[in-house]
Amino acid sequence: MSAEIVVRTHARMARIQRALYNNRYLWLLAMPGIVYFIVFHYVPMYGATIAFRNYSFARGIAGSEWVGFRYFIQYFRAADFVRTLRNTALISLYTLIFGFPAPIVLALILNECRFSGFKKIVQTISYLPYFISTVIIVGILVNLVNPIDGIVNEAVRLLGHRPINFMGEANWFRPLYVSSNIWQYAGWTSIVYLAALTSIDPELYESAIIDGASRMQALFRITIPSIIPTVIIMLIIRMGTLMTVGMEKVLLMYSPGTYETADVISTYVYRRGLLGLQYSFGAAVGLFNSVINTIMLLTFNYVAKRVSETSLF
Amino acid sequence: MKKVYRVLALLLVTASLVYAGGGREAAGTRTSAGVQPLNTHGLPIVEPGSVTLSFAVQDVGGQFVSLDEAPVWQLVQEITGVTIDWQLSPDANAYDTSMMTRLAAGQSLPDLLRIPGSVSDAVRYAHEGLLIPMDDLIETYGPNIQRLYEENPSIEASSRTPEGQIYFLINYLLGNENANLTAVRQDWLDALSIDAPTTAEEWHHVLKTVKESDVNSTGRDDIIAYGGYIDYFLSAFGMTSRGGYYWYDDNDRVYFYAMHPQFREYLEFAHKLYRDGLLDPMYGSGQSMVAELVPQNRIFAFNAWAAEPELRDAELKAAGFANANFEYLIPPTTPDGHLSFSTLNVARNTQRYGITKDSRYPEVAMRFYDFIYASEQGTRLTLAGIEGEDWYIDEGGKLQFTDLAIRNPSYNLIGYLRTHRGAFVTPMDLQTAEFNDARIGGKFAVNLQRIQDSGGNAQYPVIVPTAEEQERDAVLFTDIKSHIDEMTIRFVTGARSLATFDEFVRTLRSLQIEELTEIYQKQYDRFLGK
Repeated sequence: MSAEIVVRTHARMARIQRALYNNRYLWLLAMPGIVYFIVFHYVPMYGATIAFRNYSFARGIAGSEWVGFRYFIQYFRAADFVRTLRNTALISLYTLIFGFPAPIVLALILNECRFSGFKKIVQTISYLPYFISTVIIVGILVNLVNPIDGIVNEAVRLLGHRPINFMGEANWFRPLYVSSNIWQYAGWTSIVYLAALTSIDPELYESAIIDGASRMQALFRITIPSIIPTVIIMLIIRMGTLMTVGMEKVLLMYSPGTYETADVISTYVYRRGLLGLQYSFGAAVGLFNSVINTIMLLTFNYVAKRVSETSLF
Repeated sequence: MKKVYRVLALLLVTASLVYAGGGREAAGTRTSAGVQPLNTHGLPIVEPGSVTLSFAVQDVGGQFVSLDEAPVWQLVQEITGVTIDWQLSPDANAYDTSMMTRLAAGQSLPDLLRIPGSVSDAVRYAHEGLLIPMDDLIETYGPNIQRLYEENPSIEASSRTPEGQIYFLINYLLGNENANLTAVRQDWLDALSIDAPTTAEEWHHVLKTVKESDVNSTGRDDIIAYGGYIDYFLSAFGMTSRGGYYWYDDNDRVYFYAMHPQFREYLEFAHKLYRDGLLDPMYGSGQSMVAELVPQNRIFAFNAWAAEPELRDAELKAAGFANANFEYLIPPTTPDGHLSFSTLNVARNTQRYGITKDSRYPEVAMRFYDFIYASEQGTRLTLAGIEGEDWYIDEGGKLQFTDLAIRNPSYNLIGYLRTHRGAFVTPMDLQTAEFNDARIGGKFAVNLQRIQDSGGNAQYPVIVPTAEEQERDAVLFTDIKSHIDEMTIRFVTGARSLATFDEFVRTLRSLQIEELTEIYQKQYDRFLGK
């Protein structure tokens, strides 16, 4: 080892020490967050290696036999591979297409509202469902749509149609999932956009009015362009979880009758991995899902950076 | 910035090393058995308060008294001297989910537990070393369990692994058996002057007639004709069922229903019921409102457990339907009158209870199990409640319930025992002969007799698999089960045409249903002693 490198390394270490010392309070401030991520997000990653092992409780993670990609191949060959992948992609896509714009539209509408009292009432009512647990949301949903005395089916009956078994028919699963998702989250998410809207300089609107712009023109030329960066950041974050469909809600809503459209990767992992005690298989499928998510996030971040100069990193 | 990452990476590596090292150490050291003054015979088992056993099970739930407050379980602790540290989950599903996770981690397990999952899962936990073998413990500390096994060899047979060891105690059901028959409104049949149905065709006719009538006089089309499980009708097509997926035929050949020559006709029949609006309108959604609709005078037929019709009659009468009268029907027969129907196994083996490797007092645990699982005193207390207040022994030596328990103004017998005593639904889900004979009679006993007279009584034992069988079963069964569940519903609701039935069978073959059938055949042969 040459003396030069040693000296350089020493210099580098000294610089790091200095940098750490200079920013010591910032580091202290960040410490709880860093520790949290290490303990709850990085250390458990070690457990993900069971995807490559034939996991045995008795022998522990490190002691279990290494089997490489056996469980990944088992999944790719499984009868439900294509279906779980398709359902995950479609449910995510529909949630994105219909669910993503919903809070933006809600925020824009609320922003245009003149009566502040009415605006506050609507805001409160629309973000209330966010604070109710998913179990209860699904319980309410089941009651609303049940074919015996549910209010939705009462309406269906009034229209002269036979009651529909919404929770039991595969065709209805995705519409129910997506619409109840909007109901659950649109109000809450709109807060972010409302915050972005308040930061728009009012002078822009004043000069627009002086120039004779209509309200619609102001909306499309000023309001929407001003919140685009926020929208893009939200979209990138959303892309990272695109292939993650909330397991609890699907699990609560689906039944064998709706597997066709409802069975997603995470519920499949749950059924086979946890209920079927095939932990390694479940871990492999879950890991596969995470890899897709990471690729999606990186790709979209790259595209966003190129197209709009807004990106996460 | 790069340097910062390097520091972080270093931190990460150190942290994971520390973590991994810590984990290994915890797994490696076994706490040696604590010294405790154990009485090898008689009660209390230990000096009161000297030993605490943790016991993980699902709680009773609902409006009933929680196990950790239940008077009978307080008494159990007083009598045995063992303090119970309950580790309760609100219901069986929640319990299974959390306990499976804890078992997978394999650390800090409770002393006693209900083993989550199927018998295959229990064997896997046993082979993985999470459960301790019980044979020697039973030999020394389980006189009552030994007696139970001697009197009911099937309980012992179902408890043993193929290698001949016992790792768990199984739930059992003695005396008047619970057969989950179907109950129908006899008063409605009388009002419409139709006979009780016996074959599939008659069932369809009766259900349709009831559905189209206004026999509940509401002026609306609001009757749900059949609110039960459709596999009740399997017996009308020459199969035997109490739910589940497979059975054995007259030549002791195991078969999956889905592969039976008449399964398609059965599905056609069920589809006809669905199409004509005779099934539960929520069929296939995993939800049901039948239990709520029975007291509203809207259900004609549903699957009832023993003594339930009497209970439902009382509910309906309380709601003002004075003539309400549910009667059991024996299951439908084939057109030529053949009936094959299953009652529950004596050795039910639907739930299993073990002692974990982490227990510091396996001897105390076994004596405790012996008391609550098999002793006369323990089972009377945990099933029938408190002596003198809830029950007494009559001159003939038989257990009888007191008027206080039977004629409670607010509850039926079971409701009373569960609400006031925390009895009957014990964490171990047992039913002894004297208990069942004292509580079940009337309508149920008559029908049970009818089934037994018809020769249609069959049972499918739960057989403990070998490690290899368990491994293949775990891989194959989940997918096959999912596919059968799914396609049954889709065929019945008409979401999929029965013209594609052959494709369904082909898919099952590609999921290796034949290999799985062979495994079950081997197990059944082993059980028969072939």
